[in-house]
Amino acid sequence: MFFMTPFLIYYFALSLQTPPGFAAAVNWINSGLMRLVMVVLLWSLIHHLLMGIRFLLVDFDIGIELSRARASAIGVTITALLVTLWMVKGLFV
Amino acid sequence: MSWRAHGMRAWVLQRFSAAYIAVYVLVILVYLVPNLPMNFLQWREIFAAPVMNIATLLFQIALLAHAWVGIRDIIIDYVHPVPLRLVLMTGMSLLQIILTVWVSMLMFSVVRL
Repeated sequence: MFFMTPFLIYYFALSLQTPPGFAAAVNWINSGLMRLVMVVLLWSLIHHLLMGIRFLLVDFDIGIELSRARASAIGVTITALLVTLWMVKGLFV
Repeated sequence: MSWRAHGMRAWVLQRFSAAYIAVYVLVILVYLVPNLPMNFLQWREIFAAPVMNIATLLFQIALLAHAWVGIRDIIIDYVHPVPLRLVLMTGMSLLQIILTVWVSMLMFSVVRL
């Protein structure tokens, strides 16, 4: 995600500055490769957000026992995947 | 131990920036994404409006703080030679500063006053 930020800012700037740039940006997002990149980024973001909340709870000693920590790690991983699929379905289908 | 020494400041910075980033992303997902697709003028107007313009600049600043702490933690955990650490930390800080200047200039160029 960190290494994608320059690319995302470039893309954002392209879409905002001129009408031809905006058209190019729209054209770009309609390509399969860019959609794949965006879906992977969305997944990374959702996984990161949910895992971050999990670590915050662990910091406050909630779910710190090994068995519960393992269960929540698996739970977060699956939930992130499902939320991503749900969003992708809403966006592209 | 001092406030600075035990990393509490970095922890707080990481959590507060995370909260701002989460709220901003949720606002985008709930209010902007359902209105897609839109034309250039509609798209530009969203970020030309002063509130969203400033909120977006603040988002970049929160991202800078959040990523800075995160990358710093990775470097501390996995890169042990001190000179290499310095090079990587300086490089990533410079990149973050450049990106933030870039977003500032972009937001300044589209804002409607």
